[in-house]
Amino acid sequence: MGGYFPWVKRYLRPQSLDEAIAAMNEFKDAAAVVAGGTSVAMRLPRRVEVLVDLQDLGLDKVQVTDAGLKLGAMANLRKVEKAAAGAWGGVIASACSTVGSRLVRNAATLGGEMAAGLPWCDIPVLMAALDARVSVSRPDGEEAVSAWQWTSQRPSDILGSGVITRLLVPGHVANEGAGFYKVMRVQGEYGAAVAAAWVRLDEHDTITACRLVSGGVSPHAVALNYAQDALVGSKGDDTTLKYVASMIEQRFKPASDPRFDRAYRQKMTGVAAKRAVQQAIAMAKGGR
Amino acid sequence: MKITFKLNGRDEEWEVEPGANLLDVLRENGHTEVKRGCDTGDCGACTVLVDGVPRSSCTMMAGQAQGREITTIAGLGDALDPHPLQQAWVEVGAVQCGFCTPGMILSAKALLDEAPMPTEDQIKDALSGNLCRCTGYVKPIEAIKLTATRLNNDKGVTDA
Ligand SMILES: Cc1cc2nc3c(=O)[nH]c(=O)nc-3n(C[C@H](O)[C@H](O)[C@H](O)COP(=O)(O)OP(=O)(O)OC[C@H]3O[C@@H](n4cnc5c(N)ncnc54)[C@H](O)[C@@H]3O)c2cc1C
Ligand code: FES
Ligand code: FES
Repeated sequence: MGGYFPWVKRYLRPQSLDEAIAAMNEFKDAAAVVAGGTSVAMRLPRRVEVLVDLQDLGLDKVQVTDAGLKLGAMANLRKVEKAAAGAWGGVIASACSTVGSRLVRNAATLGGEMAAGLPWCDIPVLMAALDARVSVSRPDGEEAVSAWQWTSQRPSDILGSGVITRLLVPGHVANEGAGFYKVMRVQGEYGAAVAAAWVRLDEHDTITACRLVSGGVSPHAVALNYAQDALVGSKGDDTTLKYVASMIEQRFKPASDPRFDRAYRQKMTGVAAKRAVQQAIAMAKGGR
Repeated sequence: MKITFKLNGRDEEWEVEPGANLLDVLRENGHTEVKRGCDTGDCGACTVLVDGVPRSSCTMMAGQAQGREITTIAGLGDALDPHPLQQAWVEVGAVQCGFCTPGMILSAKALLDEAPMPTEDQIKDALSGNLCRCTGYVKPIEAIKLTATRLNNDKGVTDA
């Protein structure tokens, strides 16, 4: 499994972002970024002949303020877990802590999570729910792409030869809350199901806006639009949440794999969504 | 391509293939103390410290080592001059086949550098990427606690 890729001809260590972007643009499909390397070093398509390592660019800075979080794309998940412990009620840190083992989190980066396009990547699920902005640099400049786009497109289609430089997560507002829930048999393993939620409540605790996202099925996250529609206008009470969970169970179409069959995943996605929404509502109420 | 880096405290300059991973390159250069278990980032047998931080070398390209300080278990100590963790591992019987041991001890070393008196939960989290198929985890946890106590006692004596 672990890779030796004789088809790779060059390993570049650009010293500036411009140099990295130029290399990605020059070699296009034949180039790939190396971030933490946890995926690249294991599976690399044969078309990739040039590796562009971003580690000298200082893209690993993490800044957490009340106004929001600026998370460098090269920050590893362990670093984010520690730095973001107090942000958004700890939900970002807690999502990071479910990714693989400590050895994985010491290496895998935020940018890598967003770009890898692997069904088990959990962070894009949360970033989509939080509507984070993903800064993507290309030769013609930097674009702030909504992480919500990760719910409908493969990362490779969003990014092309672009380089993710950082993620901007909006600051927590008093009547808003977020939740993340991953169903795992042991801490850190690939999830049987994962869901992230964001809600906004009015003064009567009615949900006025909601984003609900799942993962684990395809190279991109999945927006549970029908469940969002059912939640808006409700108070997220037990009856509504039960209804939402059963709707997800019927409509969500995950794949089976050797670990979990489809029926189990469907059921667990309903459970994960319900718990993520419950967390989000509790945070929104507590934040007032 | 050439990579220059520090390995167990020594400056090295190696010629490596641009598509090679660090585990292969280390082992090909005689560092078979770095074990190959799963080759998929799951078992932690190939753990090395990169600038003091443990990670699997099978999920790291050799080029990523450029300019870094890599430590393998051989950089910690040997049979004649063992590191306190290695000593404790032997004393409490935390080794059976020993295949997981280099990785476990390196993860433990990084933990004690960060948290000199770790809680059991911190120890479990630190070892979460290092799988052991024969001894289990009770003895390694005991060995880490013993080492932490000894190192802190030594420090106390020195500080006094
Ligand atoms: C044993 C194991 C268990 C894991 N378990 C989980 C899990 O439970 N949940 C989970 O979410 N993840 C998990 N992961 C991590 C996940 O599978 C990927 O390996 C990880 O997200 C990749 O991050 P990286 O920084 O190492 O990226 P790399 O491997 O360096 O890159 C991954 C891909 O993204 C591209 N890329 C990286 N950074 C950028 C950038 N800044 N701009 C543009 N493109 C970029 C690369 O070209 C490549 O195509 C696990 C990994 C391992 C090894
Ligand atoms: S051989 Fe690298 S983690 Fe198993
Ligand atoms: S001692 Fe044999 S695998 Fe741990």
